[in-house]
Amino acid sequence: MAASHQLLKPAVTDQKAPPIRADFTQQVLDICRSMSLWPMTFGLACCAIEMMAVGMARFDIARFGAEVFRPSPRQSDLMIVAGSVTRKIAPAVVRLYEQMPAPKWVMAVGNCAISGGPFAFENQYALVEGVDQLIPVDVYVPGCPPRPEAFLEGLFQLQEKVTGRRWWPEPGKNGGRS
Amino acid sequence: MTQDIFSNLELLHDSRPDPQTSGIYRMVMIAQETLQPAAWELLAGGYHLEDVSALDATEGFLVTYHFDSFGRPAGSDSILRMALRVLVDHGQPHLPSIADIFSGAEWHEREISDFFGIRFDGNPNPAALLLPEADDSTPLKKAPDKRRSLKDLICPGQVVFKAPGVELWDADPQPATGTSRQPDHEQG
Amino acid sequence: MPILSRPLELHANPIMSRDKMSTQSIKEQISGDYYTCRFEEGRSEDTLILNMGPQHPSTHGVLRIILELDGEYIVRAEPVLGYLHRMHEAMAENRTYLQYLPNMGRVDYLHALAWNWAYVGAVERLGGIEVPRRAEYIRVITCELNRLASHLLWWGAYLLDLGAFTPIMYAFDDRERILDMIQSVCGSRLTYSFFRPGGVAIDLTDDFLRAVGEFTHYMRGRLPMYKTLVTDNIILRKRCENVGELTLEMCRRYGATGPVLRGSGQPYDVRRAEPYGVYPALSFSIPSEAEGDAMARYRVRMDEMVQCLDILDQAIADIPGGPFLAKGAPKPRWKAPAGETYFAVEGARGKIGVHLFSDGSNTPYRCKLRAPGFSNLNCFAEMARGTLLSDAVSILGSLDLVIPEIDR
Repeated sequence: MAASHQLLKPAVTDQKAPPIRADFTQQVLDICRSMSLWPMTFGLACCAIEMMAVGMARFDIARFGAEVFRPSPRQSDLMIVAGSVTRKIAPAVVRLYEQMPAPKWVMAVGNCAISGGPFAFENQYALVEGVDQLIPVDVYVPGCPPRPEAFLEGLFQLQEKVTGRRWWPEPGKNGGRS
Repeated sequence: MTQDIFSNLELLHDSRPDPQTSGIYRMVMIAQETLQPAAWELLAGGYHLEDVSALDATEGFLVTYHFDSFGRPAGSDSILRMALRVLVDHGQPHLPSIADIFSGAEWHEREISDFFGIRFDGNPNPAALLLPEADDSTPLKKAPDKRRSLKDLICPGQVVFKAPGVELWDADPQPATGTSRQPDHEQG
Repeated sequence: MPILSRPLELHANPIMSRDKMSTQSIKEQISGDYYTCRFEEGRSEDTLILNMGPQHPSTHGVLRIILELDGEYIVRAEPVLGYLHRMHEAMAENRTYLQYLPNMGRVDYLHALAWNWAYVGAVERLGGIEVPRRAEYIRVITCELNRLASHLLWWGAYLLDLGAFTPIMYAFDDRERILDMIQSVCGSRLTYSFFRPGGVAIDLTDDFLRAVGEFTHYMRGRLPMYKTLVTDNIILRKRCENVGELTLEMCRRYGATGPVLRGSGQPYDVRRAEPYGVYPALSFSIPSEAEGDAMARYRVRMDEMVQCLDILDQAIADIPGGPFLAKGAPKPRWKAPAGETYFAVEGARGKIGVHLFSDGSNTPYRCKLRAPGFSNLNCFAEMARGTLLSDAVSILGSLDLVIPEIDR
């Protein structure tokens, strides 16, 4: 139906490079940015509860710098899409993404945000099968819902993407030591 | 013995299903015109609106209003849920709204409009509730070849009253604890 | 080496350069969308139309509320739903009875086991399946643990909305203990599909029962601390007392149930009104308060947490041995006998109902889900009229909403 497809306009995604390029400063800035990412509270559904759990005392995302969850897109640089994206909220997702100032990153958390998850059935009428149909995604964290530890691993992968190297021990390797 | 709540109204069908298997103690079928007077009687009788749902069958859309009562006689744990049912034609899907009587009905009716395309005349805010605006996909309306008859879906239980000419269910319905209730152990 | 990676571009007014922004016209962006335009038609002079949500920290999910404000006072409010409509009722017609069970964990993920119970209870009624006594006790234990976890999360999130950052930390700490226990049995931290028609998926261990006993003892020691720190706190009282008056007559008109109803003076609980499982054998009271304000609903939920602990202690003491799944429990692709049934359970938010129609095949013909949050949120528009905007946040929190169950 025309009405629903009208809602599925992808975001404008060009992010201009900074006007002045200075590589070493850029690398230092990237490290600082990745160690203090400010996520936007975009918990849509069940994964939002695990996002809250990762911000709480046991899993504590604050250890890795990302505890400042900002409700406003203007003040955040990481959009954690945690939950199912429906066609009705698609324009809002796009608008929020466009309102975030560059440099910005997107983490798609949960099977719904990656590909529609358990709700993608034949002839489904209300779901966007994967938020990457609307906005560019940097890290995908699968699970239904993913454990808070998976959230943290997603954050580490994003930090690796931003800075070019991994900063934290990989689980299962070298007994957990880097 | 308290007076029957519908004693002043014209019913099409009144029956008593088995509460333990069906979850309702009384099923009343009425015409569209009786809907609003019945709602007034239920409000005055202390009932609350539990939900409004619709079912797509070959005979038409069966809109069911579930009413229940908060108050119970002391020590009683009997089911007091009542199903008020109206049949709506597929070609003319209109019903009067009871949103001015039970305010909660406004949202339930909007949801049914979204899913089945039934219009509720008099609903104060007939915008799409759960679907995006201008989405007329009516997702729960079935294709005609997938519909079943109400006779195959509903067991009315012991019939207390049946208006002449109303042939919705079998004249001699199976009791709820009869053969149709045996579990089918299909080896999957 | 050039310093500039690209030539500097100077725009006359960078904010108004339309070619790089989204395709909505300025007029569309300012005048608002379909729902805002409809809402504006009834406005009075000199009022402000404000959208709260769908992305908002205090709406507990993707709820959008359009407000007409006269200064700080709300003249009119209209919730807009559907931002998390995940087609549960349509999926029921496309899944077999057992394939549909995981959906139930996701309708209301905070009290997923109550929705599990409502659904398997409806299937058991349709199929005439009897549940073994041990399985009933397992259901009660896990469901009450889940109810406690749900109330703890409600409590923490409510206080976070009101501006207190500490209680949610404590709440999640307790909740993690519950989740550790439930996870050992249900396999998941959040969206459980533990119940099966005819019983439960796996059996409880003695370690689990011991852990539950230790937990109830620990929690009884924590609740007085919460009372002193939070419930008796003057700031909370000022934010919640006399805020969001909900009369019993309103509850009837909207069909509000659960703590929302019990905070308005009616001690109605499905576990007593239409008993299911082994609740008739357990002794617990139904807390209710008469004031009908947000503080009354708050107190009802805090008292319910104590009742959960009482039920848990009784259940772990009385649980019998025996099978945890009925012998004739439905296998995959099981065909339900034709008929209809309605099964109601008491969830953390109110009366959950599953209305199931079967035509004799192995998929439901129609499955209507009656969500308590749907009716509870319905009251909001009438409750919020004339209140301050900050009181609206308090009212929303006191209703304990989970939007996925409202949108289904």
